[in-house]
Amino acid sequence: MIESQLSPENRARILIFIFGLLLFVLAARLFVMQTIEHEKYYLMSEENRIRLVPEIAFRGIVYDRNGNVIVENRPLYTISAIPNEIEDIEKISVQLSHVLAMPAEQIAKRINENRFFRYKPVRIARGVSFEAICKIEENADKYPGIIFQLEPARKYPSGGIISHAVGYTSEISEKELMEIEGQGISRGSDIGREGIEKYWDSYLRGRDGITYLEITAEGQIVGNLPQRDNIPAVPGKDVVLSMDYDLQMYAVSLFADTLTGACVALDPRNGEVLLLVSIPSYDANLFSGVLRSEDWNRLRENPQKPLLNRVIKGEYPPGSTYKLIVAGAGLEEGIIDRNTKFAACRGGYRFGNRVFRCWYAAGHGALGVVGSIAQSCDVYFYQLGQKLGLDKFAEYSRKCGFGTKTGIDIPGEQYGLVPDEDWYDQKYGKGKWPISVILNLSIGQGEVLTTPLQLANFYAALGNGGNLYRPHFLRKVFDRQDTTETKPEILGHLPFSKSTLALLKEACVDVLYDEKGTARGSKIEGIRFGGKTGTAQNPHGNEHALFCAFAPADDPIIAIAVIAENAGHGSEAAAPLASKIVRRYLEKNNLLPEIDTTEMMVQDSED
Amino acid sequence: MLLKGKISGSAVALFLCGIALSALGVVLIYSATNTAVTSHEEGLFIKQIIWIALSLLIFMLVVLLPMRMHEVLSYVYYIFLILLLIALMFYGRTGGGSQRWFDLGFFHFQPSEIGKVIVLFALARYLSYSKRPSQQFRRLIIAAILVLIPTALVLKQPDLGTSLVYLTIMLVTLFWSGLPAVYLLLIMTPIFSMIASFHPISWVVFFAVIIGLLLVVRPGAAMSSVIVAVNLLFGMITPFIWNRLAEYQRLRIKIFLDPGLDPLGAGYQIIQSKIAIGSGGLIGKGFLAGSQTKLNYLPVRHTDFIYSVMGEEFGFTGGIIIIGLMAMIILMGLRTAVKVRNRFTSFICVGAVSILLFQTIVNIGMTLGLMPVTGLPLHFVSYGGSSMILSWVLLGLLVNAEINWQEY
Repeated sequence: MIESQLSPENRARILIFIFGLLLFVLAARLFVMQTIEHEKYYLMSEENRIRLVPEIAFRGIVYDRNGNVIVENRPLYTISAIPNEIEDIEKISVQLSHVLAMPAEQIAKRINENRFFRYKPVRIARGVSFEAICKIEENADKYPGIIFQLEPARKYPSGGIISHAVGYTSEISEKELMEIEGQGISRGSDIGREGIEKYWDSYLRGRDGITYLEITAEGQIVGNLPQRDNIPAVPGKDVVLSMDYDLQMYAVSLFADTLTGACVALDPRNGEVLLLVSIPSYDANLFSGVLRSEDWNRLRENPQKPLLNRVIKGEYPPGSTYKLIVAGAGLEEGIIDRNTKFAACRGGYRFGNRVFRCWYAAGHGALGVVGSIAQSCDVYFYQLGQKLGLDKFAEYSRKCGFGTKTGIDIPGEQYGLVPDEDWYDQKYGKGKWPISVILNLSIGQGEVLTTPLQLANFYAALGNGGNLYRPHFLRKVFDRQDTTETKPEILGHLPFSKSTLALLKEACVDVLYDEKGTARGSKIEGIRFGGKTGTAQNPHGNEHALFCAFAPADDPIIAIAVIAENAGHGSEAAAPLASKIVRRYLEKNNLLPEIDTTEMMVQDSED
Repeated sequence: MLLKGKISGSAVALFLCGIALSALGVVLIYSATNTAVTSHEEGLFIKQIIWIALSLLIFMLVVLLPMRMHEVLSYVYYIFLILLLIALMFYGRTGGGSQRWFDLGFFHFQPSEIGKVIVLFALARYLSYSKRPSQQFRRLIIAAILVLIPTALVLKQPDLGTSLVYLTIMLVTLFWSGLPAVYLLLIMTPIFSMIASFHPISWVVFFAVIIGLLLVVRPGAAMSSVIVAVNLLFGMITPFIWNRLAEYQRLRIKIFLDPGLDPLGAGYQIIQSKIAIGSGGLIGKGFLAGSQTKLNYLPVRHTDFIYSVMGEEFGFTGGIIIIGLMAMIILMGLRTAVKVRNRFTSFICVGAVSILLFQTIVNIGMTLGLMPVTGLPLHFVSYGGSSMILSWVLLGLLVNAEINWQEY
């Protein structure tokens, strides 16, 4: 056996060493935690005691040009659960599932997933009906830990009438939240998804506020945090749009139930959009709050594509409405003057071994450029286009604003298509396409594609003396402090001289007022205005009817493009519709001599 | 007076350390129970002052009673303790999953608490009377039996913390009795055996090391065979016991190893305590200004986690003061242990010091996240009568020894 050789003093020293070492470890750990790691723990203690309650800012109100409120806010009820106060998650979930018409498993799953922060409300359902809130509040004792919160959501009083112009909002996603952190937007906020709501989101959105609360471990609110000032929510700015809501509503009403299509009207003096209609439309209110998946699927799967904004995203062959560009190019290039005539129209034009037909099988005879436009003679334009050539066709098209975005202040605009030699080479291979494509292009058929907005903008420029304005909705942004008004922006000029413009204008007027004009049935008595019919070939079904116009012919205040899908000739479906809108707008602006009324008065006096 | 001429500087210093710690405790309990929302614990600091007053009376009694008396009565105390612990199994009050107290109406009497002193008395008595080197193995076995009986009874309650205190007393007093450190290591091998036994390979490696160690040290055939047997036994029954542990005990061990396992349950306590202390910084957030304390984030803060209140509101400054005062008591106690002429008293000093040290390490270690949650209070500082009385009894024994160091 080994006996200890240590004296009591040495044993005591060993104990002191061991005990001291242990106490030193404590002291060292204490020191490290309170110096090096202090910052980390301090933040954690602050996180513990501070609850940030976001106050979601109201989005700005949207007015039309006459001061009508077209978009406003409404209260949205959200049902949340505080996990700590719920004893039986299953039971609560089943109860809630009856009231909220949601599967119980889904509710239970959501609560369970967020149980970790046991005092933080877990959102169960957003956009709950007022009735459901009442049911829960009346039986509050049956729903321990279930609370409701109120937040603002968008309200579109008009339903679907303005949806394609104004768009809609929906809740910001987690991913977006990360991307735009620190811009005063909090979880649960709505952001713009389409139209004005998206394009001018930064104006409309405002800044969400934050309330700092001090809370106990049990989640009890002690009060405001004395060291930090709450950040108040700043509501979004209000905006005034150039849209004429009455006119918009009227335009929508003119589309019969079965008719799909689009209509857009601009103010040729500055590019303001007066109306923007795409049919069918959708109810933007569906997206505000909680979008139900069945609604979403119905919208998405509808073959008529209600979510497609046909004005800016619909690309159609322009048909005869495009003849103005070809005619203008011919005049500018000196290929024709007002008296130039080509081989007479006998209902068709032979090119090589193929006959290109005129829509009027009986033939127009030999017409000048004005008559060819007014009567929409295809044969004239086959010959003019042939002389003009593909290069010039493409050049003038682009200068007239086609094949490019107009720059309107709603997102998603399409370019349309102005084909040129490169394009054909790429598509069919070099030299592997017939030279005759120019014949079709000259009457606005074939590969050329335009959006209704591009057409309206071109006709606006035609009416206003050649200025291509940037189409826009936004007239004014204002809040309590200041007001910003939008200035018109000229993006370009039509490549036409004054005399060319005058001639084209005259031709447009003849379309309506000449006794042989294609749209003579749609003229408005008492004034003169110009327009052009078009019929777009549609490989998928009946032809689309188009009509573009500007009114009055001198100093126009409205330019309009209408497309009625699968509705046949432009003169039959599109022109009367456009004419009615124009008439309504001119009446509103007191530009129509009160002919009808005086006649009636005369009649009255005769009786 | 009885003590005239005997009171040394050390005795006064010991007393003042105890007073300082107790006073700090009252301040911290006041803060701990002064929360932002209404609580039913307000006024606990008054009760604590009463406990301190009572403890001081007992302290005086312990200082005045001759150590000789305890020496004579050691085994009587011991038998009484065993009987009490057995009686507890039948008449004890059950609370919090364990059976630890007798309900005396005004006071929950916890025999295992005063048992710490009694186990020390019995061990000191036994070890101070047997000093023949030839009997070392026998001495080891008997000392172990003396401690293991109450340890087993306390473990049965179950109270892991207190039973570990008993084992600590045994280890330190055995060392003090002159047992070589290698033996102590061998005694502790069953603990390593327990840890190693969670995996067969680790346990086989461990067992090979034990055999090797025995071949080098050669502690004799009897001792060797006992060590081998005990290690075999522990290695085999540990998995069995693990499965029989109460769920909360297993959880505590698991959560000690990984507090992230249960951030809202037992791990929550450790995390919140660490946040409280870490957020205190060097000088703390100020009296009554600790958010962790005030807003109830800190669990059982007037008892087990009182040190975290100190750490949050007074920072490193406050934290190191408590460690410093404890260190002074321990240092002075050990010096007395060397100085006293009576062998029994010397053991008492070392034992008292090791009880104080062990609980300080375990309690503060727990608040710092270094130790599992055992529920051992911090001596002098934590709220509670039993703990306060025991603190002052231990201090009384040290002061008694210091005053009467010359007596044989």
